[in-house]
Amino acid sequence: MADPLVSFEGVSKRFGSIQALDGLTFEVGQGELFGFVGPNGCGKTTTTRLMLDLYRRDAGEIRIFGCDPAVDFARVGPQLGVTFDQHALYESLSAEEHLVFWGRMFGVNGRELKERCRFLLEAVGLATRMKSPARTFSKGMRQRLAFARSLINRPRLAIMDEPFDGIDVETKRDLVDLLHTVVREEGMTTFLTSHNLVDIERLCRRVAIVKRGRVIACDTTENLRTKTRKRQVLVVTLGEGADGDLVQAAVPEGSYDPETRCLRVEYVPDSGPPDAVVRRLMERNLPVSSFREETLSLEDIYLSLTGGGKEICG
Amino acid sequence: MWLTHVRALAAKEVLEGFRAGWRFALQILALAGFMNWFIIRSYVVSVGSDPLQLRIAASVSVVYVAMIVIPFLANGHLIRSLVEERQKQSILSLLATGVTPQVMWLTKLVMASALSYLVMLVSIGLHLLVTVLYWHVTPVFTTQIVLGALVVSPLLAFAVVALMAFFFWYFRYPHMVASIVPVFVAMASWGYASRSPGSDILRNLTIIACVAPFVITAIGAFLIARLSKQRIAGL
Repeated sequence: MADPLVSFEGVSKRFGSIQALDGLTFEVGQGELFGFVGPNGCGKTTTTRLMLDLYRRDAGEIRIFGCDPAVDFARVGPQLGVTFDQHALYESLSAEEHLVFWGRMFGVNGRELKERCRFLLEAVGLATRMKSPARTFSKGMRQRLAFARSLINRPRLAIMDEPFDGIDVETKRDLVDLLHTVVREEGMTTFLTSHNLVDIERLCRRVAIVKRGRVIACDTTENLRTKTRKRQVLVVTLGEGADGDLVQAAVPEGSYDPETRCLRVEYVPDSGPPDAVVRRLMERNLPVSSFREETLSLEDIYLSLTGGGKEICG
Repeated sequence: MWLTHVRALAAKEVLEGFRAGWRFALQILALAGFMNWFIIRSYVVSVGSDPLQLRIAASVSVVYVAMIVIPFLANGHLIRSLVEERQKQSILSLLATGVTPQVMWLTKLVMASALSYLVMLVSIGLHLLVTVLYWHVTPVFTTQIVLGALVVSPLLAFAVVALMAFFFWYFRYPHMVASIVPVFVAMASWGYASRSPGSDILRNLTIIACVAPFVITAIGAFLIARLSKQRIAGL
């Protein structure tokens, strides 16, 4: 990647006997919405904290805007917008006072700050509660405010650690809309960590999948599907009375869920027609109600790569 | 950029200090009033027969108000602004703005001291009011007493506050020290004030008072600047 905004090159970090990061390498380009996913304890939070100079790395090189954050964070920090999984608001300050305070911390003042506050409070749906103290806010409202806070300085790079964790659908939709608007109109780059792979897949074009402190895959979601070779899933719904053992015997490469009576078979599109599977089931007199083809979700790829599910890489 | 950070942080600390700290300030004022009553009563017992001696003793008692009020009140502010900020992890967002730990520490220390100084002024006013209206003693104001009450004694108190502020960030679990130091300082000042009517020991401590808070603050800021952000944030 030419001139990346963020680059990690062989970064390692150890806490006592625990190797949190082990030669972590990835790059994030200008204007990208970059997803960073992995199981608990894989090093996501350590990575964000290294970017914010809250931890010191043991080895490797980190560059943000071409600077090493451990050496020149005074240059890096003012261009960042940060959301942590804990909202950490000041309980006695109102929504507006929060944004004014954070704006001033970044040197945003006067009319510009006023207009930015108004825009963000309206965008996150807190305009009518702008004078209310944070202690009166629900979890969703707190998350909305924390999200707005991270964008007050028109950051070049937003680092968002689980920004959609535990919030309702409506709040999530509003925040995603705002994120898209800011990325599109202000050219902001976003580094997003999340457990929710549906969110990541919907938002991010490029994704890094991390396991035990190493990036095991880093590409566009489309390319990741290609790399996993089996890009499609055939979902066959069987009728009542289908014997699970018989189904599994007929299609040993598939996985059958007796509760939903769904058989999932992953396959490579050009390697053969999926109706061969249906034919095999019908030859054994198993009742097939319906079948459909699906594209592998990021969750399927993630489970495959992190070993959290069935191996599909072959 | 550091001036931008100082301005923003100072404004936030004032807002939070007045909103979250006013109940605590009222408690401290009540405590100061209660101590005033005991101090003056002990003076009445010891020098009550000599009105002039009582006037001098009552006037000098004003000097001790700062030592009773400031460490307690600043301690409350510092627990909110240094310790709770770490516990709630809002300090992570602050550090991520690029503000240096020593600028943050110094601003919070100065604002906690300034807010507690304001409350001390109110407390001195109440102290004098009680002395005049309840004990019917008119205080005598000399330059020494005024300087002692408004400058020397607060500076000594600020030295204690700076030491506590340093403990709050330097040690991971500073609560024990934080609880004991202000109580010890207040009780010692109160005990000394009530047993030594008319004593102007603070005059002898002027040089220490003028040096100690600045030296402790400078050393504190120097050591804070060398702490890792990981340790400051309690990660």
